[in-house]
Amino acid sequence: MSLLKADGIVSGYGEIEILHGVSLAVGAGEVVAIIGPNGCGKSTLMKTIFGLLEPTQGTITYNDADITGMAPHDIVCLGLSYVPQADNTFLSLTVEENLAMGAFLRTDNYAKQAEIVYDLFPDLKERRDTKVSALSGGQRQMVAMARALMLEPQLLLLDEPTAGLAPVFVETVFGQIEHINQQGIAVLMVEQNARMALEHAQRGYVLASGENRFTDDSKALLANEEVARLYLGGAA
Amino acid sequence: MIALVVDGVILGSILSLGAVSLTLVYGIVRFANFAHGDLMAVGAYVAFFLVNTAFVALGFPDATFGPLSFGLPMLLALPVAMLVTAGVAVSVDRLVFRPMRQRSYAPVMFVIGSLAVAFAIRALLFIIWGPEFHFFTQALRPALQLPYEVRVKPDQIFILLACLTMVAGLYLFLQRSKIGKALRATADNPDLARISGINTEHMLVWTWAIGAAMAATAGILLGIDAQLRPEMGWNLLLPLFAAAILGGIGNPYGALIGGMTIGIVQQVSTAFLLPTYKPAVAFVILILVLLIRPRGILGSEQRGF
Repeated sequence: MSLLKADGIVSGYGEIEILHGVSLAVGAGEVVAIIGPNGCGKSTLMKTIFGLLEPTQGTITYNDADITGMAPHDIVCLGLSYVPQADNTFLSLTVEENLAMGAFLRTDNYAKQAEIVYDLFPDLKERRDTKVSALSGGQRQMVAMARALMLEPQLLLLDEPTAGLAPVFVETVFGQIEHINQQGIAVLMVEQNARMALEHAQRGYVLASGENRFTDDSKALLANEEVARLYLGGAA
Repeated sequence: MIALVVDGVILGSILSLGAVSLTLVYGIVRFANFAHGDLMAVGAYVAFFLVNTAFVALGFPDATFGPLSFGLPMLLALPVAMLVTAGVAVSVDRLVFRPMRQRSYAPVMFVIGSLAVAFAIRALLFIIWGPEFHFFTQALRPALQLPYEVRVKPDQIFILLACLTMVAGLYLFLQRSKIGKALRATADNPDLARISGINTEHMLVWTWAIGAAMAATAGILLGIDAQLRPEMGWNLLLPLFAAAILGGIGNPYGALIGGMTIGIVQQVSTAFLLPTYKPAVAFVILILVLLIRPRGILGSEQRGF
């Protein structure tokens, strides 16, 4: 059974249509990667799922409830969390305050969940009272993911989690995504780093020009000659 | 000279309170609210109505506190005027700015909209209370004689303390409370705030309410220090913007410094220039800041505070 299901999504910015009917599904506990060339609509899909853009056609369901066109602050209550590609931290707030904002909707004390999150990102614990603007790019990415985990989501949407990071941090981030998944949290990620993303995912979607091109197990996609040649930058 | 600095601190504290609230609103609603000065005037006139009409009609004793020119009625009128002004600002947002947000108007349209609101509010004040000056009280209170020929009215000490208390209260609210942190988060990154589950429309209501309540207080204190006129807030608008930009627009802590600086420099300038040039002094400072440090004293490339 699918946790998240997007069906025939048509969406874009104002008059400009970017997605021309994309469908995807994520099951509970799965890691799913969306890959594809620049401008194929990966980020647009994420924003549409999370209610930052309203689709002109198609439906999005989460746990069988229709969430199409719902506001982000309502969607986040349902157990879905989103880490955008850029501007994904509150730079003028401290690490701890970023976590507090991630926990804004919690009515209980968030300290217990903060400890769980700090265990996933021990580097952040030492710097909890530091303003995020003083952190490195890799640390900021950790803050972004940590914030998104504060409501104990079932599904985490990650938009380009390794974009702009030094190669050493790219490994770290994929390791952390694996850790997060081991807690039973499903992950849907969009990645430029297509080969690595597929290596860390169970299933993958290849988007091109705002349409589904390939959908398969990651291993099969990695072994697919055409996918390798067109989207992974080389032979399988 | 020292006496002028002391006068400047008093003026600066009122300017600071106005500039802090102006810039707080700017930091979150992301447009320059030209009606901010007129919200100050609304606060002053509501307090004037309560103290000099409503409470008198109700038979309130108008005893004053020791050396101050006002008493219990003013202290009761202050929170009521803050609430009423907050209500005015929240209603204006609902009626004018929210429909504009829903239609995704360009930022400049919001500024023009606020200008229209400013004219409308001022016209209402003229219609209700007329163009003449009003005073909270006719009572004269002797100034305290301090060393170095400094004379301070007890009212002015109250004004300074009230402004510092309000700004310190805002600081604690923004740094410590959950809503305060959410306001800072919304100023920093509104999209991420929404993604985190913060209803940014609620945050705008908080922002208008807090900003207007502080503006009302500044207006009342200005009325206590001088007099009430329908254009009292409008005339202060440009020094307020100068103070906010000097401190770094969108940064309330910077506005405190900016307000004090403008207040002191304006008063001290009267030792060398005719008082009519006072507003011009604010602009000379503003132009210098824009040339030397366009971000302002505490301003940064980032949003948020």
